[in-house]
Amino acid sequence: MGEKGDIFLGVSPPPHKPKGLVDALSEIQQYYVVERSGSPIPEDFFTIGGKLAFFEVGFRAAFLSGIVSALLMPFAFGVIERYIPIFGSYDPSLFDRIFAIVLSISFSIAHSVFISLTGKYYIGSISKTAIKNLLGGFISGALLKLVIAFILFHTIYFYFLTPKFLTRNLLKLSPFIKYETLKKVYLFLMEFKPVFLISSYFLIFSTFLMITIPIISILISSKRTRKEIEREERWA
Amino acid sequence: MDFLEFFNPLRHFSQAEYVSFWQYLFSTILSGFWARLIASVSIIFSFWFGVYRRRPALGALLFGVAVFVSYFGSLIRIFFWWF
Repeated sequence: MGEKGDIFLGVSPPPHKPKGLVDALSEIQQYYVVERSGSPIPEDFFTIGGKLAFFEVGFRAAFLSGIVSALLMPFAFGVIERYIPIFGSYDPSLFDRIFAIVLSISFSIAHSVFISLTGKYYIGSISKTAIKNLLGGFISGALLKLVIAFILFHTIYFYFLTPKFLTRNLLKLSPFIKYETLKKVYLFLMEFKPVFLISSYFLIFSTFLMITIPIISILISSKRTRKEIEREERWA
Repeated sequence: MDFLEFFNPLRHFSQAEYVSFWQYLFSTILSGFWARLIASVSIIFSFWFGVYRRRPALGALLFGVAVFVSYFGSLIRIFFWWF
């Protein structure tokens, strides 16, 4: 039992490991508030595990959102090339075509914008470390998704949708499906297959957007916050 | 088994009524003006809730609604053409 006047040596608790993007953003906000108030946080506050946790959250967010976008991309270009109907129409208007593209990239762009929100807190050393790891994971996840989707779309084009492969496998379905239907499917897929190549190259562009939005936004908003702090210090 | 029968729509409606209900749904909500409006509003609100209000689950749900309204009518049409 401690007595009056005893000195207790406090040990700073290890950083809480974020489970998702909202959690990571809240953590970074807390680090920012503590660092801004002038309380020193030791450099070693972040263990390797803590850094990895932020990296993992960023990686998972970029990879999963990127996969959703990659899956929707052939649909979007299918709409533009008039192979797939959107809103029940095979004749898409300009709005429909733009909407199909926006829909395909919006999930990953929303994640990029969400990551960009951390830019305001890119000030102290701990906040910076957390954001750098989150962003590093996000960029790695986006690039891995790009490589996987690029290879997958090319494999679909050059292997799964070749006349030889398609004919051999569609004919296996002939006991269950009418020959006319199989012929229609074959013709549709042969016409549709260039969409996969277009999608794979558009994915490079969308991944570029996905990566540059948070980088530029973090640079701009951290400068703004720094100016704000300088102005407050001048007036204090 | 009676309990499961309760979920059978054909116990409450005739087959013609049931089919016409789905046809009505596809010709109104899942195509044309209303589909465009619902999908656009869903995508805008998915950004609003998911990013600005920081409620990613609601954002993802609204994104799902936008995808559903945009493509589901068309996919069902392809599905019926297939069979």
